[in-house]
Amino acid sequence: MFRRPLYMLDPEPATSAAPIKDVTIPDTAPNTLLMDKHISYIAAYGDKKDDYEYCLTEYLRMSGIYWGLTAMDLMHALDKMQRDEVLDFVKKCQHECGGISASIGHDPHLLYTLSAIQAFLTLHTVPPWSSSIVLDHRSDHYHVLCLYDAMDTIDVDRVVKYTAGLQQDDGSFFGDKWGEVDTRFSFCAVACLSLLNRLDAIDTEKAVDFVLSCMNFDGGFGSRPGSESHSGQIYCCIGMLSILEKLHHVNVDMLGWWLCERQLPSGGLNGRPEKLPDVCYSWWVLASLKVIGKLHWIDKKKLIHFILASQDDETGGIADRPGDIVDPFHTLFGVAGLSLLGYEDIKTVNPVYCMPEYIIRRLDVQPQILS
Amino acid sequence: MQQNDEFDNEGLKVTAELLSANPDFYTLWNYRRKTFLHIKDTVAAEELQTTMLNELSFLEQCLKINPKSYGTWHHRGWVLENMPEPDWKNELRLCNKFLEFDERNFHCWDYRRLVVKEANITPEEELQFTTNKIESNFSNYSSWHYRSKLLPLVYGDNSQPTGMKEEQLISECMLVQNAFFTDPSDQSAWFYHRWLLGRVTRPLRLESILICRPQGIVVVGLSHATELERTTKIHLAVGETMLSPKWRTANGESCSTVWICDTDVLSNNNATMKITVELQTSDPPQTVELAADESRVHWLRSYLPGTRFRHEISAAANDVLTQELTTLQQLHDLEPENKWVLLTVISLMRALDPLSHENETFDYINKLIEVDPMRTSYYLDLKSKFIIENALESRPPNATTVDLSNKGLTTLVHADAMVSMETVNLSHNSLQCLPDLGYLQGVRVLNLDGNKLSTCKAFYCLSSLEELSICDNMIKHCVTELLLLKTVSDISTTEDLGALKSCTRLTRLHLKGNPVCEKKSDIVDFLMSLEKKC
Repeated sequence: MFRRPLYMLDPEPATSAAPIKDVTIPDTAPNTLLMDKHISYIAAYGDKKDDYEYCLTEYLRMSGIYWGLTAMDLMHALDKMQRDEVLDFVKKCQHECGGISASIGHDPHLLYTLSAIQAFLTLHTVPPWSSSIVLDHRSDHYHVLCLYDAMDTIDVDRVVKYTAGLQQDDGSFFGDKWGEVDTRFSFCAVACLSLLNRLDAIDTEKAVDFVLSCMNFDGGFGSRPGSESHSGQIYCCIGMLSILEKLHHVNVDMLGWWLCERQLPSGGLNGRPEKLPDVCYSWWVLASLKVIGKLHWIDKKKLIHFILASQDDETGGIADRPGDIVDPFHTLFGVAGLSLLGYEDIKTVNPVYCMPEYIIRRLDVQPQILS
Repeated sequence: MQQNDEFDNEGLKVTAELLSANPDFYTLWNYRRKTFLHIKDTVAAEELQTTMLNELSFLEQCLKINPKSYGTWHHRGWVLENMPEPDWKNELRLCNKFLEFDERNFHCWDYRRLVVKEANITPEEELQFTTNKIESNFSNYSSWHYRSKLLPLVYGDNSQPTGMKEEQLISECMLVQNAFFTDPSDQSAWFYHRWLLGRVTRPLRLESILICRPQGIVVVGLSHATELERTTKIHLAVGETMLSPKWRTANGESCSTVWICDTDVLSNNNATMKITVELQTSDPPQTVELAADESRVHWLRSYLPGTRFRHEISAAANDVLTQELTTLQQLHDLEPENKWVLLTVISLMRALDPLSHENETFDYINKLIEVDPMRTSYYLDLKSKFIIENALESRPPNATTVDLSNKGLTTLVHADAMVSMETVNLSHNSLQCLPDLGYLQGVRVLNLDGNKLSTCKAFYCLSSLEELSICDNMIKHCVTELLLLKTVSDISTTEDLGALKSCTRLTRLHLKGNPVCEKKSDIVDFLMSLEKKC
């Protein structure tokens, strides 16, 4: 029979409770979207190739390009990017094995293979650049034509072969040939192959089983079986299950509750309990909530306030939190988050692929979204 | 250097300098691994061991500078796996050290799980480690998480409904109580507590059967969403004759709790029929009798009042839950504004007796909205869920009407538990959107007046629907969206023609009070297209 320990008969209210980790938003923080400044910031980012910061991030250049292109497209400014330069760069980053690296001379990896495919589809689905393509989005041929048009840039068959070759017997994916396993790579592989319309190249059933083996007591997901839930991993796992139409495995009520508890009094979202808020979680938490149909469980107004306050009103760009240094990564996820929140003048973003919705529709890709 | 396949000490030196400053430069870790593989082939085991030990001390330095780099931790695991004599026990000491420094470092926790496997550390030892961690600081989500993985390994007992030995469950409850009495605002313990009491996987079994003769359909509700062909089969027999029907879901999804089968046998025959439905599991078959003069019949699994939805909350024994509730109510007296306490009290009350605690739970929900306004929508959805559950709990077994009007509902849940309903009244609530209503295969009259709906996407192939009232909503563009037909005909090119047919019974549509009513010609077009279908 259940018995309480003695010390609980007269429990004292906690006096030493830890304060909630959060930030305070200064009154002087920006409270409108400085779209023009962000456009200039991203447009100028690639021009400073000799900058120390630019060199230091070469190991993730390909993702940087995807972040910049997507942010610009969402802000109606894709025409300010150097299309040919980017495509040439992507081409030079593809390796014999089919995989694509972060930069020229770096090693191929699934993370950058997905970024390259995302960047390249963004550049190949937008008029007027794609004027050689039939622009009837209903046409089944569109997908094929779109890829055909790009055949001179990326060898799609080899990308497919590389990606499929990284799947393991348990359904998981290596990030590259060095054997790191992570549910992020399950997402990269499935997202990449679905965008190329080549999901048949992998064992999707096993891929799903592996991701489900990473589900936790809180309804969230970690990087490997046994790993703690983390909003970034949750985004990857939910996205992967959405693409493969397996969201029925998700405990929506439990996960939705955990995700909406990421919102802190400042309005910002953290990635795990007892952590500081960060603009990139506006994306990972929000997109996951959108996919499971529970976006309304957070306070939209307060989150918009937090994202806007994380802008730099001098340089443009968005930082992880108010007052910090901006970067393209947080700029994209801030803008994409605002798009999900219905902020005016930003194009609609797809919550699974973090690409403009019109591109996803034209590709005729339909990830599952719960209502 | 990589281009020239030069793998030497100079290369190791240069990459080491770069990596200590920038451990995320993944190509450089690859370079080092290639170098070590090269060395491995050319030197004796002893020398390789020394090289690898040097690499481990270099890595420890890197981790001190940046303890959260994926590349560094992965490389460390690779080195251990590739050295002649790995000392995994020493790695456990390293993990202890780094977790001392930051108990939430998930990279280190993940590495620890690899080490534990390689070093053959038992789950018991690891459970003790998390106990020590938690006792030194209750606010430690990572440790609670790890416990949720270890506890079933150490104290698992499949004969118990919770899957765990009861005395262990109780002592675990006490550990959690210690945590939330110490700091009631720390969410770690509360999430863990929810998990501890709430683990039920129900076996796959039949929940409901609905037979509609005129539509020629058999509808089967299951205890959880299932991919039919992949996991199980539903057998169907009329009298002694086994049918081999094709089962479909209402919305074309591959997985559902509700499966539909179209069969001519029903409509071709006006005789009394015995219809048997059986799952390919240990669940016993159910037989329903459709009398000669009947057009429909249904069967519902019966539950003791208040237990229909309990599996979603808890599997623990009532005395455990009662004791928990008493303790939590004491904490509530001390911390009346604490939302975690309120939410847990609600949860326990729902598990114990949702009907008798109804008013208290609603008071607590209102209190939650007051103390935690950011999550108002979550709490309102929760309240709607409770209202719907209580309404379904308290309906008589043969009821075919469910009245959920004027309840302040913000969401509709458990539509799959309404398969056999003929009349569903959801009018005068605050519904802004609806889930797919395809589960409501038996519904003939559906009232959604006075909500905040802007589309009609949800009313897709309701095969029995005769009257739909959707007055005073916010439907604007009607026709393209409202047009069941248009939506369906777009899809009909695939394989939903059968579903299209089943929509044809809709003869009365009430649209008054929607912005769309101003577009008369559209409405006329719509009604004409409905007629054509009939």
